[in-house]
Amino acid sequence: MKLLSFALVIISIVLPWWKLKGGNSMISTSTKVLLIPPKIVTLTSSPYVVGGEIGSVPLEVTLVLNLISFLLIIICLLIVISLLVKNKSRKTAIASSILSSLLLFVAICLFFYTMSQITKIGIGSFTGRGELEIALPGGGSELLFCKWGAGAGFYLSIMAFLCIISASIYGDINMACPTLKKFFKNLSSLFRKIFDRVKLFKANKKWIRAKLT
Amino acid sequence: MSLYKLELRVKDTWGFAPSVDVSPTLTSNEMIEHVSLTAEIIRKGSYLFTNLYPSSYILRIGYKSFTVEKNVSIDEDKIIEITFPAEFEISFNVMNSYGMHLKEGDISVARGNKILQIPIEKGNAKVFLPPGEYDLKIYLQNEEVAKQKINIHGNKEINIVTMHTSYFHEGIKYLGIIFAIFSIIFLIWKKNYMQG
Repeated sequence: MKLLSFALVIISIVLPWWKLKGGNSMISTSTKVLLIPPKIVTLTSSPYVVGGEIGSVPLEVTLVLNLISFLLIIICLLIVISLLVKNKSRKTAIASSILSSLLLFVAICLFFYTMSQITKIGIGSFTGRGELEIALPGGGSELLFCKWGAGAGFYLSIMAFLCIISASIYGDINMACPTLKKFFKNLSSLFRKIFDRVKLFKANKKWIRAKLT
Repeated sequence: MSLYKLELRVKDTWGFAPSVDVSPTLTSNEMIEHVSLTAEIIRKGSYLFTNLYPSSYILRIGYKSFTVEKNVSIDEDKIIEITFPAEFEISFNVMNSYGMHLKEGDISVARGNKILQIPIEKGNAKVFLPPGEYDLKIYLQNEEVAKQKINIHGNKEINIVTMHTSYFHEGIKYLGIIFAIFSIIFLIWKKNYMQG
């Protein structure tokens, strides 16, 4: 599970965390917020223009994007540490897992807050759709219908966060604390019992119905 | 006393009529009161001075910091051709679709039927161009990765993001996907192994 979260964090670093897509029959445009490099890139394609430009953003935004990519690298290192010391020092493994999940949560929240602030000024909200005036490279602008929201990198980081959390609960903490292990074991057996009862009930219902007909 | 005409034909360094107004003026030291005579535009790049007394004149054309002066002696109707040397430094920063510098490629700058090819070195290219509107195209391994129009009226730094993808980002992405698949397979194997 931790290996999977490591892979998801690695992929999320290079994928856009926020994107805007729009177009009509002639023009298509896409804007993506990247962490490495910390830039907002817009690409436009039309019969006359192919290419794009780098969005001018305040220095604070670049700093935040840099900070998030730095946090993600730290998270990757922490996951690797927790995997390496899993059998030697369980406490270190637990600490690394908890810290990595906390840092990932901070990175996700920080990005969401920063992008919400930027989009509030420019287009109104973090996610949405509507007609926007898009500047074309080399001059001119066009009114295009656009959709915008979180990018693949953002979703993958949330998935990675859930993976780390579940790996921490079912792995490290579970192993380190016998009481908790017992609790989870009881909980899973309880769920299994409920599931079996439901299955049995359905089978009985089917049998009764078959008998009646 | 007869009066004469002077037709001025201005060309830029590419041989086209300048796309900016070069504001030609005529003055003469023989004038009692110094005045600058202005010309009438007859077509793009062609100017006409009329009702000129026979004398020696100083013809002046200019745009921003570029000026050209020429002594002209008028004793008949004349046509003069001048090449206006104004050229501005244009710096290109060429990037891939992830905003990282494009290591190689060519920039093609075209105006009319004239095309200039500039090689890209470490994402940068520099060229001197006369003012005007140009069609810009960027090629990477003979594939067009960007095109747009640019207007030159002075020194300019142009950032161009091309459609070419980043090998670094693609490499990391696919490596991550392989790693994710491997970890899922490992997870399933581990679960089966534990149960078995």
